[in-house]
Amino acid sequence: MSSTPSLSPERTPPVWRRAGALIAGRAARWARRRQGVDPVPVELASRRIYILPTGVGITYALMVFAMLLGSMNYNNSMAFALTFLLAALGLVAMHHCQRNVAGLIVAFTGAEPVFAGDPVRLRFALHNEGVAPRFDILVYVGESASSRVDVPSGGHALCVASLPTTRRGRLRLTRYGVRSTHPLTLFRAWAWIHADVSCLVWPRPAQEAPPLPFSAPSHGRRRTAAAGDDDFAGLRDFQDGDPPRHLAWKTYARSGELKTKRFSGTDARLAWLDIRDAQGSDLEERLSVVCRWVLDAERAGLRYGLRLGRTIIQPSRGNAHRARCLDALAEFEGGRTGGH
Amino acid sequence: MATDRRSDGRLLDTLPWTLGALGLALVPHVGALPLWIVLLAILCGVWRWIVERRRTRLPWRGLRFGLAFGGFLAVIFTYGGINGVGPGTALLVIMASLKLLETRTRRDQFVLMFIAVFLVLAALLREPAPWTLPYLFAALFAIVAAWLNAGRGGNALPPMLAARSAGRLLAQALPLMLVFWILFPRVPGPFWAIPTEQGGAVTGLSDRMSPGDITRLGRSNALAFRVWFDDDPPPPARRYWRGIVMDRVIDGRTWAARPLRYEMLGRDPVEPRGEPVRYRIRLAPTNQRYLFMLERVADWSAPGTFVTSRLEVASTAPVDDWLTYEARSYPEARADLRLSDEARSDYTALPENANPRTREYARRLRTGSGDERDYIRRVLAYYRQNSFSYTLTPSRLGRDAVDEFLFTSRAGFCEHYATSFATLMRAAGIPARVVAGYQGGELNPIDPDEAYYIVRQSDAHAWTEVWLDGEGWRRVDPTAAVAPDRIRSGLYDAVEETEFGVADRLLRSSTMETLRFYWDLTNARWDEWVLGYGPATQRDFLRWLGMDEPGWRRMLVWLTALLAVLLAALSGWLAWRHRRPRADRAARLYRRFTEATGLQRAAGEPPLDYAERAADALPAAAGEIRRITALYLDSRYAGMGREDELAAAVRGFAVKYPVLRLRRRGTTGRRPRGRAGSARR
Repeated sequence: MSSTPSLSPERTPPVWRRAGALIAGRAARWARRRQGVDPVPVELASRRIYILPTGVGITYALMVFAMLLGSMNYNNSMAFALTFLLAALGLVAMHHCQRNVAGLIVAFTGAEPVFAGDPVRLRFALHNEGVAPRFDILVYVGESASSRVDVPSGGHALCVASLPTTRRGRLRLTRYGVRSTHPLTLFRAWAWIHADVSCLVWPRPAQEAPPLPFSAPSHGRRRTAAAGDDDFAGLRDFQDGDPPRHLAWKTYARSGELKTKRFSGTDARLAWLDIRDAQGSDLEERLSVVCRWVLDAERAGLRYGLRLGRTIIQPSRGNAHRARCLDALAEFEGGRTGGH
Repeated sequence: MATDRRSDGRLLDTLPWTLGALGLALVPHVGALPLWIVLLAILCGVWRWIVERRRTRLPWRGLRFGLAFGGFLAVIFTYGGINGVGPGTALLVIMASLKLLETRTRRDQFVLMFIAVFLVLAALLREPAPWTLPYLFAALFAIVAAWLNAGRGGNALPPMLAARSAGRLLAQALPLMLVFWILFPRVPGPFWAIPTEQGGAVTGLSDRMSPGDITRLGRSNALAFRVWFDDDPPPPARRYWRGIVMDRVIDGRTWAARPLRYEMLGRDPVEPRGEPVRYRIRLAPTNQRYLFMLERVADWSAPGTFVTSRLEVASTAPVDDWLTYEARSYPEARADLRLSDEARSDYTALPENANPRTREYARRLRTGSGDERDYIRRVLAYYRQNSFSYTLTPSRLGRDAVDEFLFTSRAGFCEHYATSFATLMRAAGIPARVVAGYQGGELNPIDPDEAYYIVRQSDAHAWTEVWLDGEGWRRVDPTAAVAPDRIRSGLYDAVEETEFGVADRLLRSSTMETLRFYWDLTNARWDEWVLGYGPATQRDFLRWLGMDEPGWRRMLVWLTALLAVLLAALSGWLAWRHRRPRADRAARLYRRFTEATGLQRAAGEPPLDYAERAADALPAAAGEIRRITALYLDSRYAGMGREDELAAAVRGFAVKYPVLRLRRRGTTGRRPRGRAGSARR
């Protein structure tokens, strides 16, 4: 996973680990240049499966070696038999391990946007076209790995890898991997998949934000009364995005029709959320404030529009509108507006 | 987390496998371990299972440390050390028991499986008998199944699947193991000292003998050695397997051998005389230094051995492993035609204060006899005429054992006869010594090409040698005077049948006899070809397989080549196992049809949509296209079995529209699936 806004190192890793990461990064870039971006879905050809012993495997090898020395010393045929059986099992397990991953068909199936700081859940589908089942396979992105799943023959399995996020923006997924230690945990077989997909990370909503700014008079709309005079003003048909606490549940229970309670001023109230109105020491803080406003406005059932420099989203309401606004916040490039 | 000892039931489905594997690995140790260790292991296993079952707490850490420390001390106390297979096994079992009590995660179970593997190794090292081969596979099967489950991310595999997977892995490892086993170059060891076994007493003869010592061996069916004769075997009465010469009389009841020393530099043991007997012996471990051979052995092939002035053959180190040697004996050869005065006084010495009646009787009998040979005849006649009996249950004898035996009890086993006879000889001034060894042996006739004699501990025997002027040492066996059957056909015919238990009698019934011979033959082959597969046997075997000059280089080359072949076969099998299923016949036919139209069907495009598209593109063939599609849907999804009609229709279509077929070459591309290769630059 190489991404602009991803993992921030919380503690400095040891030198050897940093060196390892450097080499791994070089290798990854080289592999990507060589392989290019894989199609979606991608079938893992056996030549791109890498395999190395695990910690258990190294311990096992040391045990077998010690047993070999012991057998040679005692010249004990049965000890030789046990030693060689264990060695042969290791070799057989290695081949099984590689074949368990080879031929798997893998696809990234998407991720829902999240607020910065929340983990993003990357979804992957594994498909096994072969006649034999595959076991204990997981998808990993950087340090994060999904739980292990079995893929039945001719069937699918879904994997979810959770990735921590720290900053808003577009999270690019350039590389992920599929790996397994089946059957004996002596070897780990894995394959890298070069992807070119991304998902959005919305700004983190500010904890405390100034009250919602209301629309400028220039738009010709009447400024409505202050919050608090929500007088009941009858029922109207339910629309997607109406807040649940405004639903007329009693009516629903009686008639089965979903109605929304109207309050005086609800339709008339309109908020223009402008980045220039937000207070904050830097752009990210201001975006957090705007994000909070979007959520508050949506919850309050307001119609709201968004102004981010040259990007203008006309006032509306509902989950889709909310998502559009948050997406715009996530992708906003502050420099061009001269906001600083 | 270290303080959280509560079980969460995560191991509920894998723990039975782990416990089963450990239990199976432990089975052959149960008889050899002290009872408290076995009980500890069972207790810990049950405890751990209850913890997982009831989701209670694992025991407190201090308790585990206490148990570990206590167990370690108890092992040292029981075995007097921690070296060797016995205490090593005990420590492994204690480790496994306590590790069980702190096993919390799936991966902790790997440690337990490593211990189980070492337990299997310990069992093989202690007793490499033929039954260890099935044990090896059964235990490894259980360990691999448990190992598979310990490595699982989710639930344990269903039992049948786990068993099948483990069995498959083992079955595939088996040919590789055989190749390794046969071809891995064996080198003569050891490289470093093998810890000597403490308390590993082996049933067998020792270098001291009191009345009752050999009697105890009489009931042991344990194998002493096997003998293969090159030519016709000598008659039973000539099969005296000489081992230990005892010429020191310790007191009235005990005879002992002299310390072993090499004393015969620059001289052959015996002068060849008459026809030799050639034979090969495979001696079971005795933990003693004596080797057993027919009398008057002239030469033998066993490195690190020597012969003493009493014509004993001994090894420089205790025989703690199977030993094979070939030897040549000249039964008619003579030994020690001259005896020095010093030796003569040694060989006639008797303790002054022991067995007075015997010495008195000998003096009287000697004065009433002619020469020494006449005296010997009279002594033997004394045994014959005074209703002596040959028994496995002699009465216990006191300090003057020979007196009691000769004049009171008159019932004894071979050592009673040998020591009393030798005492009578020495008391009369005739040099005499007691010889301990084996006599007779049982023919195993199962394989007539390779018939051999089984010599058991129950064939242990003691006899005497007396020195006669002009003849040298001559064997005299007083037991033969009393129980000639013992010498002719073995112990079982010589004593009353009731002296043996039911089990022994059953063992000698004819069916059991045959089974017993088969089992011994199996053991013999096992000893020779499996346990004895060392550097020499390996060279012979590989030569027999057709390898010329089998050196270690050549072995390694063959080993590598065969491993590569087997692994390639395994790889091929795995590829086949993960193959795509062959498409349904109807689907194959429909694909041929879509290729014939020259109009590619998109992935996942419904057949009816495709048919309409194709009909639009090829109006002339619209009828056939719809009909073929309908046949396809009937066959593939309605299960109406119209594949034959479909095949005919597709064939007809391809023949009728050859132009389309020609077009096909240019238009059909590869299958749309994105293979990795196609993504390469």
